[in-house]
Order: sequence, then C-alpha cells, then structure tokens
Amino acid sequence: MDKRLLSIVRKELRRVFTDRRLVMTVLILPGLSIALIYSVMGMITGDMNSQRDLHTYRLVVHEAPGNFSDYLEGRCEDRFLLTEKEDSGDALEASLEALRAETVDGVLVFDEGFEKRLEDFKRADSNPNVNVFYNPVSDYSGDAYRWLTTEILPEYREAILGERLGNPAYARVFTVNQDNLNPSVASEEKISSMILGSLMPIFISIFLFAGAMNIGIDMLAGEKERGTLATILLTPVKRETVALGKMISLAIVAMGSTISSLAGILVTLPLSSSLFGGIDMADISVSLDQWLFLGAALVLLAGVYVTLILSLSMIASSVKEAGAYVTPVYMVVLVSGMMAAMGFGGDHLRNYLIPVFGNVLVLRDIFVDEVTWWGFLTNSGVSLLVILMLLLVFRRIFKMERYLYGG
Amino acid sequence: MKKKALHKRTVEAVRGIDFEVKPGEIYGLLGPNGAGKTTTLRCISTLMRPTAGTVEVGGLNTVSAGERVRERISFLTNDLKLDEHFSPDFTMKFFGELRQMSPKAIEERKDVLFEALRITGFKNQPIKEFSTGMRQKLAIAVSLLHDPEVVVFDEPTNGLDVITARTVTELLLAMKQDKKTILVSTHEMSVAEGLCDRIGILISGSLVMEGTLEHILKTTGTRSLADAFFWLYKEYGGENG
Ligand SMILES: Nc1ncnc2c1ncn2[C@@H]1O[C@H](COP(=O)(O)OP(=O)(O)OP(=O)(O)O)[C@@H](O)[C@H]1O
Ligand SMILES: [Mg+2]
Repeated sequence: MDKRLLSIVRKELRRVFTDRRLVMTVLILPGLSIALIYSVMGMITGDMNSQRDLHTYRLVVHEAPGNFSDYLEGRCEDRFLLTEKEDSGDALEASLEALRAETVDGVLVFDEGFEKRLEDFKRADSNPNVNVFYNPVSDYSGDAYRWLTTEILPEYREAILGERLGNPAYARVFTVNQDNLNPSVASEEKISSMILGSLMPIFISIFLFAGAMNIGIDMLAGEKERGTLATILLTPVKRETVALGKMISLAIVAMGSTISSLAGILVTLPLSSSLFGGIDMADISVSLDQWLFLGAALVLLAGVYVTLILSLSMIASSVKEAGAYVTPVYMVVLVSGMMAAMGFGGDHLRNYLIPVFGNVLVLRDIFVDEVTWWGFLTNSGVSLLVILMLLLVFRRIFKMERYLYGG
Repeated sequence: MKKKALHKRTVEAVRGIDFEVKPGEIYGLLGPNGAGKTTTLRCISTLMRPTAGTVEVGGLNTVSAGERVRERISFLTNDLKLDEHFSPDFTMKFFGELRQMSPKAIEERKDVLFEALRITGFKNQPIKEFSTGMRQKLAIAVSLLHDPEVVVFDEPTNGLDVITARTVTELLLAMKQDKKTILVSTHEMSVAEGLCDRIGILISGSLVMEGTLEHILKTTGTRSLADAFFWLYKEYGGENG
C-alpha cells in the first residue's frame, strides 16, 4: 500500500480532531442532542401518563336511566364527573359544542324512555340505544370513549341482563382473563428492543449523514475554495490516492459521529426510562451475530453516505454550492429514517433494493432482532454497487482538471 | 534541454508562446496584469492542461508525464494555499511525506529552509496567525522542500517588504549557483532588471520579445527596461490586442 495514503488520512483526521469546533459538531453534538431529545421525550410522556392517572373525566349524559349514575359511581368511584340533562334537542347541541371546545370529555345520549323500554323488553320490537360522542383531538376524550364503549357500557348491559335472569352470574356466561394478571407474552426485553429498534436507525442514520456532511463538504469543496487542495495535487501524489484518503478519513469521522450518538442513547436510557417502560441496561443484550450484522450494516451505510457526499461536493466549487447539492439528499435520509421507524417497508424484499431506505431498514431489522439473510444480502449487494459506482464517478471528476480551481 | 512551448487559442488566454530556460539561468516573464503570466506558469507546473501545443520540463511532457514533472518542479503562485489550521512544522512534514522523503531528509531540509527564510521563530504557530509575508515565506519553503531542479515562481516578491523580498531574491540567486533552472514572473521592473539573466515580455497573451536586458534595450532603442516595456506595450496594442 502507498504510504502516502496513510499520510493523507492522518492529516485529514488531525485536521478534524485538533479543531475544537469540528470535534464539537462531529463527536459531542450528536450524542448530546440525542441525550437531550430522549430525555425530553421521556419527561413529556412520563408527565402525560401521570396526568392521565389523575384526570377526572367530565361526562354529559342525556336522558340517563335512573340507576346509571349510581352504577357509574359504584364502579369507578370518582373518576367520572357526571352532568345530567333532560331533553336531547338544543341541550344536545350545547353538549356537543362543549365537547368540541374540550370543556367536556364525552357525551352520552340515551334513547327517550330508555328505562321504560328496558322493562317492556318482551313487547318491544326493537332495543333501546345509547349514543356515545367523543372528540379525537383530546387524548382524555379518546380515553373516556374507549373506557365507556369497551368496559363500562358492556358491563352495565351485563348487569341489566343479570337482573332479568335473576342472577348476575348467568349473564356473565364466562369471564376473560380473570386470574391472568400478565396477558402479554412479549418479554420486557422484546418490547424495549422494539421501541429502541424503531428509533435507533433514524438517529444513527441522521447523525452519520449530518456528521459526514459537515466534514465532507469542508474536506473537498472547502479545500478547493481555499486553494489548499491544489497545493496537495501539485505533489507527485496520485489523485486517486488523495481521493481515497479523503474517503477513508470521512468514513472514520462519520463512524465517530455514529458511536457518539450510540453513546448518547445508552447514557440517557435511565433518564428516559418512562419512555421505554423502565428498561434495565442488562436487558438490552446484543448477541454476537447481531454485532456482526450491525458492524457490516454501519460500514455499508457510511460507505454510501460518504461516497454520495464526496461526489456531490466534488462537483461543487464552493462550500455554499456543495451545501445546496447535499441538502436534498439529507431530506431523503430524514424521510427514510422516519418511514422505517414507523414500520413501513419491511414487508417487501424490493424495498431493500432502494439505497439509503434499504440501509435504514436493515439497521431497524437488526435492532428489533428480525434481520433476514435475504434482506441483509440484497441491501448489501445494492450498497456495494452504489458505493462502487459513486467511487468511479468521484474518481473521474477528481481527475478532471477544470474542477480543481474553485470559483 | 528544457523546452517550453505553449499555444492557447481560447479567448483571453495565451497564444504563440515559445521560450526555453536553461539550468543555471533565471528567466523573467514580465507582463502587465492579465497578460497571461500565471496561466503560462500553471501550464508548466501541470496544474493546467494547454489546449494546444506542448510544454516540456526536463524533456518530460507536462500532460503525459505530469507526475514525474511534479517530482522535479517547484511551483509558487498566489492561489496555492496552505491549510491555515496547521503549523509550518507539520505542513513541511506532511508535504515531505507526500514527496516520499525520509523523516531525516525532511528534518534537514526543513531546518535549512526555515533558517534561510527566517521561519524558525514561528514554526509551531498555526498559519492562521501569520501575516502575508510570513505566509509567502512558508509557501516558498514548502515549494522548495524537495530541492527541485526546476523552480517556477509566480510573482515571488509580491506583497513583501524590502527585507523579506531581499531574502527571497538571495535564495533564488543561491539556487542559480546550484545550477537550478529558474523561471519567475513579475510586473516589477526592478526584479526583472536585478535578478533575471534573460527576460521575456508578455503582452496580451503573446511573447512579444525576449532576450537579455542589453538585447531588449538595443532592439527597442530605449535606456531602461521600463521605457522598453512602455514602448512594446504601445507597439503591440496592450489590452486591445
Ligand atoms: N479561471 C479563468 N477563467 C477564465 N479566464 C481566466 C481565468 N484565469 C485567468 N483568465 C484570463 O486569462 C488571462 C490571463 O490571466 P493571468 O492570470 O494569466 O494573468 P497574469 O499575467 O498572471 O496577470 P496578473 O499580473 O494580474 O497576475 C486574463 O485575461 C484573465 O482574464
Ligand atoms: Mg498572475
């Protein structure tokens, strides 16, 4: 190997790691921002959960049967604050308006003569009805609706049926999960890895790109603009060697960003525990083959990003121009990360053929422990092809003289 | 031995230039702003490719044997910059490595050049804290690091005070004693008169006259280089071609 390649890599790394400003943006900032985002997210969700536990749901009930209020109070104590209304004409409009304004969490409208029709059930040709209204804008209203329709009203119905049959147990027919206090079979570990797994790829991918973008643009467009690249090219060193040296250095720097963001996630896990439902660090065990997959996936992701960024900043003659070229790619990276986090794309092998998006999919698969050889190999093949193509393009542009003087 | 010919047909560039510089000689390219001095020197130093014609350094074609030309040549011009983040010490080491010099050779050469150009005092300071003159001196040191046979300096004393300029001209004269082939461009008459063995006058991209100072004065019938220069400038139409 050419020893000059090593000299170039050493110089590039020295350039980055002895510059306080660059060390900040590449090594400190990614970890710090993730730590911040995670802690804030954890605090907000924790806050929301504790508020929900304290909230009193305000209901307006029209034409309530005589015993409904007692039933509700007996069942849920003081979680509901009931306001009863007689008619269901103009008063109903007012209630719905209050629901829209979020001063009320739910509106129940019983049919006129609900109670009487229940008593005459043998003669009636149809059953009485109750309408439940909620406001999807409000989380509290959504909670109240779910609670009313899946638990309280069915149980109220069951109680009435029990009265008809003379024994509440007859109406119950069978119970569900009576003694099963822990119905979820997924382990804590699996749940936490699902949540972590869907979030990690976005952060890794974004910080990898952002770090490589800042440094990469400066490494080429910046050096061109400042005239320092031409000085290096005036030595007998081969242009390929300079190009390769920059590429390797940028990949190393990008990996630094990634490690920093990983560290940020690990450090804040205890702080953001409410977000992840109290993960014990010991629960996040990563097996050896997962590490191998992760290593390979990260190298390929870095390769794709680094070649993309360097090719684009090679075309540009100034830092500003390079920024304009790289920003749209950054958007693609952001959207890909978000889509993968929301669970899109993993169901079709063809999605793994898409550069960038496929790479993020593989990362997500690794973190949720669902990586398949097909997905991994398909994406690795595509990534290698993209890297190779961009490398050829990059080398070609680098060899063309006219791009070497900026401006 | 060393033949440099360059023809460039693009608008506003150089055309029909044909001259030669021998070892142990300082050749001065004199011309007004925009005459094409930098363009010519860039072609010689392999940083630019002539669209027509050939340039040879030590018998090597600058296009087909660019790498080997770069091994032998030193090129100094205003728009070749050094990374301001580094110190002169590191910069010399880095460029020495790129030129595949041994660490010992780099150290020795560095000491000689830093001493001659009086850089030693601030060799560990980052370049961003340097004045124009300090930067120019360091750029000269970096360009001469590998002790090249051919020295091509574009306006080497531009922006330098008298003392620093004298340091540079003394260095050039010492290199002439060492039988180096030296080509400098300038628009300063005093540099051309005092330093150069032969002078080529470049006006609007054409080499309109070349020779020793005596030859130029005799041909133009003038008493000083400045007069000769004005005469030629009028004769060849200046910027209007
Ligand atoms: N990058 C470029 N693109 C287009 N034209 C250029 C470029 N660089 C120089 N030129 C043109 O080529 C001509 C010669 O320029 P050059 O820089 O060689 O002049 P010069 O003799 O070095 O002048 P100066 O004394 O001002 O340095 C000028 O007319 C200039 O406008
Ligand atoms: Mg010039």
